[in-house]
Amino acid sequence: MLFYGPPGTGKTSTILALSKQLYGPTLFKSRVLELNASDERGISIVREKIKNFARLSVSNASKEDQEKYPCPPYKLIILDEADSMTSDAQSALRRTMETYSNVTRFCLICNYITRIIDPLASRCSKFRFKPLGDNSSLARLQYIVSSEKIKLEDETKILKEILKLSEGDLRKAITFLQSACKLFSFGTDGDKAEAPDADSMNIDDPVVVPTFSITDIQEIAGVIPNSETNKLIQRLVAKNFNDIFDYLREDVFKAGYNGSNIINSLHDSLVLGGDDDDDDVDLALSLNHDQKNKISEIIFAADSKLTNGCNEQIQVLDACLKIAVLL
Amino acid sequence: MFSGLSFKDSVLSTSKGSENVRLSSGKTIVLKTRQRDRSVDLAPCLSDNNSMDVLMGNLDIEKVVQKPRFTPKPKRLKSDKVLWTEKWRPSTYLDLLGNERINRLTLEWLSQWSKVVFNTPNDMTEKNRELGDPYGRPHRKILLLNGPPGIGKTSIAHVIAKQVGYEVLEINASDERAGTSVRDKIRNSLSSVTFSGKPTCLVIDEIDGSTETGFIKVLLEILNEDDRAQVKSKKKAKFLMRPIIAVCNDLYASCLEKLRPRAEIITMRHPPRRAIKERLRKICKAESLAFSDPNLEAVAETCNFDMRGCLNMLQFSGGSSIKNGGGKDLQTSWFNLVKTTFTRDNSLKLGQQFAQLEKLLLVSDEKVLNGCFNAYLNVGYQNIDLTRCDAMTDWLYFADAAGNLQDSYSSLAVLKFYLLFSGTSTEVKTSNLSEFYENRRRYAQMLRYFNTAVSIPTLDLVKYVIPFASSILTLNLKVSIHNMKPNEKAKLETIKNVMKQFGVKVERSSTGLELYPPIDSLCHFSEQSLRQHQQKKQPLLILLNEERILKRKPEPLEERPTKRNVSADFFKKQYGEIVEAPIKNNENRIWVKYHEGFSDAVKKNIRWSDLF
Amino acid sequence: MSLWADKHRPKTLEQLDFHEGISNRLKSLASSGDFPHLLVYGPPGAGKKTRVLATLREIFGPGVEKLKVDVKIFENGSRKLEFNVISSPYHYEITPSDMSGNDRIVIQDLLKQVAQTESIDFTRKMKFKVVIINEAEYLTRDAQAALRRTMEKYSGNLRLILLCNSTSTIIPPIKSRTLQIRVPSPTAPEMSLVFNKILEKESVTSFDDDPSIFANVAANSERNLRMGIMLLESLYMNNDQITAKTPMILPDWKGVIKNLGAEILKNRNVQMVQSARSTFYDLIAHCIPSKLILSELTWELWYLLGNVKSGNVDQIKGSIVDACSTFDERLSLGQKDIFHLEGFIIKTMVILEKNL
Repeated sequence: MLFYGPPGTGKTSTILALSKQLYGPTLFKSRVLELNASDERGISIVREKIKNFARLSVSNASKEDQEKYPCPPYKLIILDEADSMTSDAQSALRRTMETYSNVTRFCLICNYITRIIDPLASRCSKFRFKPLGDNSSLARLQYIVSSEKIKLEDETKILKEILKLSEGDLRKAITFLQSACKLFSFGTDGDKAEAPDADSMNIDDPVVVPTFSITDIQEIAGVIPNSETNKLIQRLVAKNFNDIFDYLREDVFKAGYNGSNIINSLHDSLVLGGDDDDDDVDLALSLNHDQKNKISEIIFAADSKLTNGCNEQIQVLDACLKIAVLL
Repeated sequence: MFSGLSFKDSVLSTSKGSENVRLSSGKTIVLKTRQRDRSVDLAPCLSDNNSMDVLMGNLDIEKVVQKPRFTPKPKRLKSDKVLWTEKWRPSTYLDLLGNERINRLTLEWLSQWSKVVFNTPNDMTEKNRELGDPYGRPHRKILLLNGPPGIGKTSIAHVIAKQVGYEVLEINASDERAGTSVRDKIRNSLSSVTFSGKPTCLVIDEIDGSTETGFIKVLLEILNEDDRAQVKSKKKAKFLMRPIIAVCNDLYASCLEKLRPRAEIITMRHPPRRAIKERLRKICKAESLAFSDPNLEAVAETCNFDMRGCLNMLQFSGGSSIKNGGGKDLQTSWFNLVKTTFTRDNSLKLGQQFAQLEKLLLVSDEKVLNGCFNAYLNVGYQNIDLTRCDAMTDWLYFADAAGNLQDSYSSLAVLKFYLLFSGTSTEVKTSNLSEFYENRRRYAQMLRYFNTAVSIPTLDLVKYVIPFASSILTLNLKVSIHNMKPNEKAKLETIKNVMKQFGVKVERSSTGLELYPPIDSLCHFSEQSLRQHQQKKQPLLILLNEERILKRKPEPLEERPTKRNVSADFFKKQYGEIVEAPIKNNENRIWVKYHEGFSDAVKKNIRWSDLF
Repeated sequence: MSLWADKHRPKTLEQLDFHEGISNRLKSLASSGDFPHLLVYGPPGAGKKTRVLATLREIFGPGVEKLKVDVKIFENGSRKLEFNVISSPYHYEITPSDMSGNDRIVIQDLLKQVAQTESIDFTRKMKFKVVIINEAEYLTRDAQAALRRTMEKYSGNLRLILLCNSTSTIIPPIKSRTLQIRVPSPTAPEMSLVFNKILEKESVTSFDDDPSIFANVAANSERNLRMGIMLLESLYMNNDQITAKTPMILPDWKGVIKNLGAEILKNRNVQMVQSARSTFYDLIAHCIPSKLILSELTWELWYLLGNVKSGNVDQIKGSIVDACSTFDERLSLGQKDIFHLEGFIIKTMVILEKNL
């Protein structure tokens, strides 16, 4: 099997849950081998460890286990984050997959299917994990909020903002929620148990009333708050180069916002259009297609240069000056 | 400069005035004896402010020997069976090609050992003795010659050592250099005398091999023992009695890090172009090879002024050039290609020459591109304006980004140089970048040293930490140390702590006191500002150095405290005096108590420096 | 340790002078008993590491300050790599980018080692060890991939704190597994406050009581607090009395670039390009990174152009910044920096020729 899709959509959770359900806790350790990016997965490891595990014949399950769980007569090797394996290691894998397919099945998990070599991808049945829809994620978040006994003001609005910022990644959304509650609740002293997985639940905690707003959420997400973006756009419209220069250098970069965030938020405001809730004039509506076209091109160029590791201040300044000329 | 003289020949003359000397070839020439005692010779010459050239001109040897008959030695080998690099290796001091100053510095360092080895006096030994060395040896006891390959480092070491009278023992990369075997070898060589009765001088070649850390540890051990011997004046610790000369290519190799502060470093550069061409010309004549001057220049340029490389090239391509009578040189060295790129031949059409150049460039590599880049700004100003240069920058980027696709596309940027910048009467000069590379390595290593010392990221270090730290290490001293105000004393304390934090020490070098590692040179750019800063620091350095010397205080050998022969009579006399004093019964008596079991006999004075 | 910047570094969260909001948040995190992985980012000299160490002290007590430097050795096939680790009984501090290409091995081996050793101190509330990773933005992609799984797996015993100047090169999986804390640069008044405090503690009287001096120092140090304190200290060491007229000490390389900028504006010809080339070689030899040279030169040209009276100064500025961004990209993608630095000079001269 090949699971692929954006992060935080449940790929690892699915396969782990599936294997637990198939084999039960006793058989799990002997029948399942999990290797992820933090383990050595060079070509020598592929040749030895994986091959040896794949070669072992399947032990017979005990009777009770067979009653409780459907124990299929093959083992499972889970290769998490398979796209960071080198192509040599992947090539070594493909023959192993074929030879021992009657006793071992493989499950590869990756984010980008293009990083898996073709021979390997052709030997797998592919499952695409799409980003979760808003409704189901919202429901899940609301469930968590109620289980953790957290009271939020304006709950739906904040949860929607969290979902928007996490871009379909449920893990991110839950982490934001947890961090926000942690950071903005002063004076909680309870020993909260670790919750790395959204599934585990917390009981009997004192009711906390965290007070945080949308700006705080944006702060946690590392995204530039809307107010700052609007100030920048105002200056761009004014076309005063010196002003733009000073503002960028002093207020934006010294505040610690990074280049790609600035570019992203400019893009969102100018090309996609702002939220309906914002009181500010929606600038995107007033731009014609030609302008939007050129702005997109400028933003694209700046983004690609930033990915190549260029100096952020220069690239953002360049993009801003060019956009200012167009507006 | 070929004189055909060997050291042995001139030694025959003993009396003053002019001498008849028989050369090994049989010819007799007249020589004035040369004074070997430099202290007598140099004083009048130096005071007249004569330049070195004038002084060399005064040597009558040059005037007398008109026809240099340089015979290769050993004579028994035929000229076509031996490599020219071996045949023409310099054998005496005058044969040495290259920087006169460097040669003299080496000779000077080596002659400082003469006192301890040969017992001949030398004016530097007294100065060294003042600086704390009991035998008057130089402060740094290992000489490290470094420089690009093929310029004569090993030759110099051999020649000068032989000249002064040592027997050279060479250890090089082909010998066994693991720790234990080489330690015995070195110790034996340093303390024994060879068959010929001469003392040994150790020459260690190619010391910068990366796997030789054990070997360098042995050298450091020897130096440390020598230091200990000086300070504690124990009988067991050994002094280093023979000079050691080390030769390396890369001064900043990581294995040499510990050795560098203990060694006297002499950096050799390429000899001047003129000298190389002269020598090549003479060799060509002697080997009856016809080479035109510009060809010799091309050869020299291609081999990066490396004598050994030039000789090899001459020896093994000599045949073809003779046929052409030294005419148009068809060697595709990169320098020639660069020259061809910038020369427009008016007899051919543009397209034809372009095609020709393209064929030539098929086998080129990035050296041609770098050469063109180096040279293009200097080529005939009539062709250059900014727009052409601007067009070139895009192509240069293409060449840089193409990088790994050298084979297919490497020639394109060079061809663009041809189209934009070639002219009919252009002279092509490339600048030498080796100094740049060396400086870069030196500073990069200093930066890494500071990075580990202070654990601040290197970007911050070079941006502001080092410049400000260097400017913190100054003190406006108007008064001497005893009259300092308390806040100035606090400043001095701060300076000392900062120096400790960065691992910077005050050391005495040939130019006076300076900081090691030289933190100033890392952040100062022009010679002027560097000198200004160093002058500002001088009073501070002197102060710190005084304190350092006060702490060390090694006891010079001659003043070892001799055991005082105290006779028993001395004590008897003292007791006698006490007993004879009258005791009055009515006076207060003083009681003296004697502690049992406490004996003066086992007392020993221990200083703090022994414990730490 | 006696630069003022190190001596007067605040050790507890209470001693910090600015960004109260962040200190409060960190305190609540420390006392909550459930400490997440952190990603602390912000411009240099804003106080990230100071705050992290103060937070650790809040959690673990003063034992955090007993630091020692170890050299750990890792095997990479046949090669042995040495690596400096600063540690205390409660935390480790590493800079994997020192190893350049081999940082993945450091992360895998070291973190596993740390995570697999349980601490014996049962009385402690916090049973985890903290690993601080400096200069996290220079981690290679492989190292970051190795990091992310380790973070999840060993979060029982191990907490990671990543420090970086900018989060753009951090891969999203890591950003999603950490809590991001932004530490902005201090403002000029905040810096003046800190300067005043330090001068009082050191009982230094040679500074005139003129607020413009501090403002000047703050302006000259790019709002980088460490730079500002070092500038203050060098002014103190070099002058007996500091007034508003005392000249600021500028690092030499900045002066070189300022001169270069002025020359480019004045003379626009090939000789200038030649002399610029030798200046570049000099700067590169002194280990100034090429990108820094490029950006400093651009800022300098921007300021100088502000004094030029001409109709289309804005257009010139725009074109110069455009050229700068092009050549900046070339510097990232290519290898021969000198080609591109010189190209920038030539292009700038062409722009100036056309428009001035």
